[in-house]
Amino acid sequence: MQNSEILSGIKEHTLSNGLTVICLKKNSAPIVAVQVWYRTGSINERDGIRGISHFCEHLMFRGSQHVKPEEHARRINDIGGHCNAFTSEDVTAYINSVPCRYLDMVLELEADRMSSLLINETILEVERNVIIEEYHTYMNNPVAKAFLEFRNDFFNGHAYAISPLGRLEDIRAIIAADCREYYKQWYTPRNAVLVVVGDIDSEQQVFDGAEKHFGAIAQSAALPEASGGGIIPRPQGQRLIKHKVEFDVPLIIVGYPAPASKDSDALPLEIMQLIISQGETSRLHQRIVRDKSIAVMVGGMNHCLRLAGMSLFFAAFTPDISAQKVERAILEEINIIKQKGVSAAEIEKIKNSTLTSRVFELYSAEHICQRIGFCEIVEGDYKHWVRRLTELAQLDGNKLQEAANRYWNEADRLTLHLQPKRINPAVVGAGIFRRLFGRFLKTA
Amino acid sequence: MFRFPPLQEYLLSNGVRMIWVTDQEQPAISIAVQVPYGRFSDPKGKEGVSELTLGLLQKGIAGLTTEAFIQKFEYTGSSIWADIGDEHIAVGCKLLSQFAPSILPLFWEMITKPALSETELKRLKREMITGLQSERADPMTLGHKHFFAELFGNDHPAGRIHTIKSVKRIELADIRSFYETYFVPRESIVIVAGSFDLEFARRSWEGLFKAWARTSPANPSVAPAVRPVEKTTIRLVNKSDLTQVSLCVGHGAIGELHPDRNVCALANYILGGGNFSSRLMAHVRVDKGKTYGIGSQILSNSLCAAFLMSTSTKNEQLTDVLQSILKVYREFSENGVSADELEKAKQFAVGNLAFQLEGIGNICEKLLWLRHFKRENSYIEQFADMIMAIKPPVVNAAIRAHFSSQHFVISAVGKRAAIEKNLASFGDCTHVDFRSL
Repeated sequence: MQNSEILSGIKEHTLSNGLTVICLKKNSAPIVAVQVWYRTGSINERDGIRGISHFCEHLMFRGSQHVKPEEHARRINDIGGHCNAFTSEDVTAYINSVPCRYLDMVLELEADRMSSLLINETILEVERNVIIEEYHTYMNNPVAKAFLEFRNDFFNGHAYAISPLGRLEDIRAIIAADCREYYKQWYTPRNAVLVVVGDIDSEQQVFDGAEKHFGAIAQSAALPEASGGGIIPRPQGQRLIKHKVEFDVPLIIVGYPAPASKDSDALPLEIMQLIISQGETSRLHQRIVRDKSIAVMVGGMNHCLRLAGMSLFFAAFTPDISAQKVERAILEEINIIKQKGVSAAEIEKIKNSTLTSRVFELYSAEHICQRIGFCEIVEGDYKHWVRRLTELAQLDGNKLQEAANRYWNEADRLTLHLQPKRINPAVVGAGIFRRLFGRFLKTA
Repeated sequence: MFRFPPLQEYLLSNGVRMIWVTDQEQPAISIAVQVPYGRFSDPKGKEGVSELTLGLLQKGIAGLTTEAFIQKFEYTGSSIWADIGDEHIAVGCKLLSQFAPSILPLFWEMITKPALSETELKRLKREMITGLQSERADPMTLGHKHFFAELFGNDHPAGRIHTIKSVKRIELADIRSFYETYFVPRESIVIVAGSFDLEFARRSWEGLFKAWARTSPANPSVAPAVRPVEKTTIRLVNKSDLTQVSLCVGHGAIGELHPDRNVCALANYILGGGNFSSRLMAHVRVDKGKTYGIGSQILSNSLCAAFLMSTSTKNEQLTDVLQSILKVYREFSENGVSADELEKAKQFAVGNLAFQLEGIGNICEKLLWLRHFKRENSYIEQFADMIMAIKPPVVNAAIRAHFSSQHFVISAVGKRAAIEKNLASFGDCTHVDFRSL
């Protein structure tokens, strides 16, 4: 099924209890991807229970009325499938991929944990220890730890400031009643989307299966809109954070505010980000890695969430180069693109690479399922994903430049310098010598 | 029973195994080239040559600047990928079918006439050294490297890990020599898969592949199996800022070509390869909550292989977790597996095959894997029957033969002051700094 045919192939149905079911028939391999996306994540947390969304994600594998602890994962594994889950700021998603004849079994398992999760103190304590171990695994990586601190500063005052991992003191303090309350509020049919993609007989098979297993789950009251504290966060003035870490590669991260994922500026800013930072022909790579040779690696990404986002640029370099020099070079390229815009060839490049990524994405039922779920929940409509190629075709250079000028503003910039705790003087000396010698040769 | 999509396969006059797979699902093509030489062919003391050669290959062809070469790929949305193993190197390209007439010949020129420039090598070496420094931030990556270095030792190719020192020693002459010796048509495989007209493709591109001529190849880079572990040795990798210890515990294993390979894969699924269906996960995470993740794997080449169990846990839980791992392993060695456990492992192996063959990328990968080990498509097509015929006594005999080591190689990455005393109670413990590799 090619991209142009997908929109007409996707079918949608809403059960009387509010559960949205979206499915797509794709018969190229005898497998089916089944995902349940809940509109909740760390955005819905408050002080004292930071991390509870992720905690509940773990508990969802620890048994429900008809399913024993870990039985969900075991039953999926035992038929050759795989399952997983993740919690982000805006969503919590449960992912299953199985041989297609087991579709009904997965629907039954997912419905059971949507309606009757068991939360008891014994399981909670064991799972708390597992989550604390997971927390420490992240925190034992100095770069991951520094980035968590960076986002904390970036989104200061907003729920997005705390990552979905949560706060250690809160994870230690969460009790079963907190989890029950959270589960009762957010794990409801009205707050979820079931997405099925793969080798199904017909869309009706999925809708009937959904009705059979999820149909009896009681309708819930309307949910409050997630506000994250009410403020759409923007960094307050240009700021710099410096950290010394047990890591030998100096790093710099430059961050600007980015629009919410469903904002009309999200796509143009994404294209600008790709032009400036994707691949070896990108502007940053050409100028900073190849021409000036002051960084070993540069990159960038927009992290667009439901209510706000971050537009990030990063570089890794050697200790003989100053962070300020790399930062200046990045800012210079950002200013050039803001002032002079982009070329038609650069836009064509991004169109081609986006089309290629889409075409290869379409081979995988799980990827399609994930894209539909994400767009439906975070962007408000799965059709955005399908139409992105058309929207991309309509973008011109002016719209891109305008978006960059709206978001990449000096006054809103937050920069992080990560400096190695231990610098080897020989490395610095050799680097300076190399640079002087290189310059001398060039002059000669 | 799984069947591959229609394919044509034959040997070209220069020894290239040519495979065409037509699949019209998407307007895309995947091309891959694989030679039977990898990290094991790195010269001693210059570990990293194979990887740098692979990197340098992608930096252009004679007569075209690196920038211009990369631009031709990136501006058409085409992407080059590379995969390096101990015994193989594969390079491929994913592209839209519409760009095949311009991109495929260019890709092929990259394989057969790379520029291999000194300037690009300098840049790549810097990149690789920075990459090696960055890896030190990840305790489990460090743990794996030290486990292999300790298990295989410096006299075995699998024990020679590329380091900042070895990469610094590499010169352009080493790259050229590696390329000339190992990028040769005989024993190599070329796969073109996706949406194209087969007659047109053969007429247009086969001539390119046929024209690849070079000297006789070296022997494929196959390394011998490792001897059993005769004494438990522990390598403590000290990183003083860590609050967790990352553990790798294991011994040698049978290679891919051993007749017991599939039987051992089923056994490993039950012990630690089966995620939440495995005994290690059930005991250490689900029952005790002592870790976020734990598992076991068999990492195998043709003849040599390693079996390892790995996890991370808080420093103060080290003794408990290590004891638990060894207890689960020993019970497994002594009592084997039940018929029910085996049945589930077999169902997993058979059911999972469909995922491994979804899309042309996966099909290419599977064909390269099969041919590397001289296997026909029937190996996959009859895989389910082969697996389902395996009975508990056969698995339990294999466990007694291959999973009954009394001694282990252990790598532990953590804060020395917090873990050394407890570690030493499990065997001879030596310590190194985390920057030592």
